[in-house]
Amino acid sequence: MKKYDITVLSKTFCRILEQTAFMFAEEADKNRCSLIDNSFFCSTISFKGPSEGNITLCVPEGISSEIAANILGIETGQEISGQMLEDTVKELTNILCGQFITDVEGTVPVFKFSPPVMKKLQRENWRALLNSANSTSVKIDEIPLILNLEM
Amino acid sequence: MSLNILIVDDSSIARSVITKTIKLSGVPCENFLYAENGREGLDVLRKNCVDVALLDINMPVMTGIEMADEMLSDEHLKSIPVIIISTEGSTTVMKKLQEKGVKGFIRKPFTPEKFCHIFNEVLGTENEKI
Repeated sequence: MKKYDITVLSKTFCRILEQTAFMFAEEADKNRCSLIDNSFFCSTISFKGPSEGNITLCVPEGISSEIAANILGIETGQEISGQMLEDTVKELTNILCGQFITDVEGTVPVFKFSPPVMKKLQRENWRALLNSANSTSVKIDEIPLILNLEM
Repeated sequence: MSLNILIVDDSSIARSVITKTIKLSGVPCENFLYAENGREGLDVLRKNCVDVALLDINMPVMTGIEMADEMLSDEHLKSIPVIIISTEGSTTVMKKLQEKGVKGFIRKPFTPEKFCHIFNEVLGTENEKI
């Protein structure tokens, strides 16, 4: 089973964030990422086909409302429910997973995807996820998001 | 002709964004109906007059593919055009669905122009645009 290049995952994420939320992210040096929030939305999708694994997207709660507002086309600061914020991160993970698989495998192979599973991550677990060899980071205005690819 | 459009997606944000994008596309729409999975979607179809059904694939309870299968084998529902809106990028899967009778595909992320193009292709709404 081939192993995918995690840098492709961060490039795919930056592209879909721009397309869906009109926001710009850039690849970050994960050794220079600072903890900037107390709570994080962490969404995971499993894929199964010629290769199999899990993709996780971890977004600080603070920036998730800005992303949701941009995707929905509403004013930043307008109240968005916690459920909507979770759905935003789950939907981004969904799009990320589908786009990433065709970026690395092309459009012929057939993959099955699980529904996204959401969990809240607290600050003590954030650093461990970031430090994983299977994780990379991107920044939106200096705010780090974690992308993890387990295979 | 203004359309009654059913959107079946388990994500509340996806349902909102699809609605907003269709409105921006200029496709003439009368009413939007919503369901969170294929089972609910079939219930909505049986109780309402729907011109087109937009289905996500990967949903709990009943997937979009299972819902499309049920629609296509139901005398009363098989004439309703099905458009798949999904992150699915496999041409193999799309070809199989097309052979079953699915009329169109829109891959996430999408644009208003993509909706306009697919609706024109599937329903011939080009001359109906506002």
